[in-house]
Amino acid sequence: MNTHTHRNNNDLHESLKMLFDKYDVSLSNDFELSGITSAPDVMHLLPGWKFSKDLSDNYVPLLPWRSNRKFIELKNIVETQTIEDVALMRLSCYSIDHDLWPLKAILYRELDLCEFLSGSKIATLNHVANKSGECVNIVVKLENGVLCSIEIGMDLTDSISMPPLIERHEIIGARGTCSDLVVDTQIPQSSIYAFTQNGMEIYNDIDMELFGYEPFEVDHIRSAFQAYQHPEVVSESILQHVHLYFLMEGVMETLPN
Amino acid sequence: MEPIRIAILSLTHGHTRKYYQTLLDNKNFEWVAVSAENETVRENFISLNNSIPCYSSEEEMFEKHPEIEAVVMASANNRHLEQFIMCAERGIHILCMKIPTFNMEEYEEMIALVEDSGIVCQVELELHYNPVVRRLKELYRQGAIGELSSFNATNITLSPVWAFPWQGNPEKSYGERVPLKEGDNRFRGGCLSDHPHVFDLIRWFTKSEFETVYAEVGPNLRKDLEVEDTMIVNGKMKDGTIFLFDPSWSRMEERLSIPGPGWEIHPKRMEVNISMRGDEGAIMADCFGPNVYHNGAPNDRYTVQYTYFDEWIGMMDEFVDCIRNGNEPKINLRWHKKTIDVMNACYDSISTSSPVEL
Repeated sequence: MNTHTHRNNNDLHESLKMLFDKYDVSLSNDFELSGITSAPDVMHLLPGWKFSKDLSDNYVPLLPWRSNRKFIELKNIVETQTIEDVALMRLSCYSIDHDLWPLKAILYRELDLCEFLSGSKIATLNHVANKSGECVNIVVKLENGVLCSIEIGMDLTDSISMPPLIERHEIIGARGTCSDLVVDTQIPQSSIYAFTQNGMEIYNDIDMELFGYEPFEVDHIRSAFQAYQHPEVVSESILQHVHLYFLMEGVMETLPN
Repeated sequence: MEPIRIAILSLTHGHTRKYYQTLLDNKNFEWVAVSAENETVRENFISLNNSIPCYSSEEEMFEKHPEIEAVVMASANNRHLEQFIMCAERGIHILCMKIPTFNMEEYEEMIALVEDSGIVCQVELELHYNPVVRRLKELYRQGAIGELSSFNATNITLSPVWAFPWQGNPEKSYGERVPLKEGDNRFRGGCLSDHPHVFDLIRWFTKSEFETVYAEVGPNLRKDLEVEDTMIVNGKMKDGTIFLFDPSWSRMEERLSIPGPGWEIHPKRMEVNISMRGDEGAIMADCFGPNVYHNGAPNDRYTVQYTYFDEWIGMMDEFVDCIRNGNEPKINLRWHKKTIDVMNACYDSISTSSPVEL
């Protein structure tokens, strides 16, 4: 859909309930997808970066990008050894919609994707930032020896003809490379380009069951659904949250306000 | 809702495998059995190590499983009428592959069988359940590009004939051996017979019917095929919308007997791109993109790894609704007949080297 409109939180809530009903997933308590409330029996299913380091019992830090099919396929390509002997990863992510994707959200997401796609933990991390703190370059060494660069930027201006994130995730092996960016391009493609009296608009509809949602909203609903369908992933995501928060905080603390 | 007890017939259609996961995931189906068209197909199915009983004949399957309520008719086009009769006699609902038949007398017989027996027959045109197509249709209906004047589309793929040989056999694909035209040693039943989608979509979008159509075949890319593998179609709808369609098998493939990694030689093995022009704007859409890309195993070629293919979920949800709630499928035999008519008109145009009025 148009990348600069998204649905309200009641819609997200109803769509998740629709999936629960359709696939016979039982609910033991109510849930919240939009923000933190004081209700004690409500499960808070939010992207992990929205929580602080310390989690209450009813907080579930989601890693929604792990439900995005392009990242699932990239991970599959690595895991099935379609590409072999991975040595290098080149990640970049520039935020156009700073409200939707603030710096800490991108840091949290990209550090997690680095580990998710490679299947290895971050062993060392070095970073530099520009004067404003809007651009951060990170070099990561993973426990399996893979070297990874992460470029993060908050300095792109808003545009309705761009998705909220301009990103690239490239994995390079001795046999083959894989990427979410098509060869010889710098920006992600969209499924629809409309040239109308409003100028050029783009649309990226990826999920018929959740039609009308932005891809990041689809990811949020799918990962919340998975947390109920496969509760075993929750304990893993809590551990990963603590780990990611430590890494993210380490970078954020050094940046100018 | 009680699950629908369903079986798959023949297992020889290229889309067969799309149903496996959908039937297992959808709680409204209980996948009861399959029948295999031949021993090779049966062995391939059994090698998947699932627990679904596989029979060598439809009769045996229906006899052993009287509980079957519906079938996915995943067979060669020339087997459809015979299977329609078997299902209608037993009151079994049908999800039919995209070409029920090219023989319009047979087609009328199928309509009568369905309507007289009261069964549901839904035709598999999965692009109706594609999210990009849905967005495109909404934009058009909302007037984003004003009055439509042009609808151009590709439905280009690799050729499935090496894995699904009936698609290269004129009798099994087209239903009979009809020469493409005088002096041409090829026959009807190739790429056009595999690609009805864009002919259907333009009717669905415009709510108009075909006025004229002109089709030409090019030389075959695969010289050993006896059916066409390249074609361009030009024409006009009754509402004045012009169209240009490319339904070719123009993406080359490795000649695998079972589809799998490395099937494609061209990076993207299947493309449906639509370009719509109106008096207030234009829209360009890629119904199966963007994706992710690699150049790894098995052939180290640049390859599109598709990231979404879930049209079958919505399509099967509609099938359930029609069976359990008595609704008419959006793509029923009567609706689909005019799509088959225009595809036959394309073959007639090739045969006469002239535009055909519909």
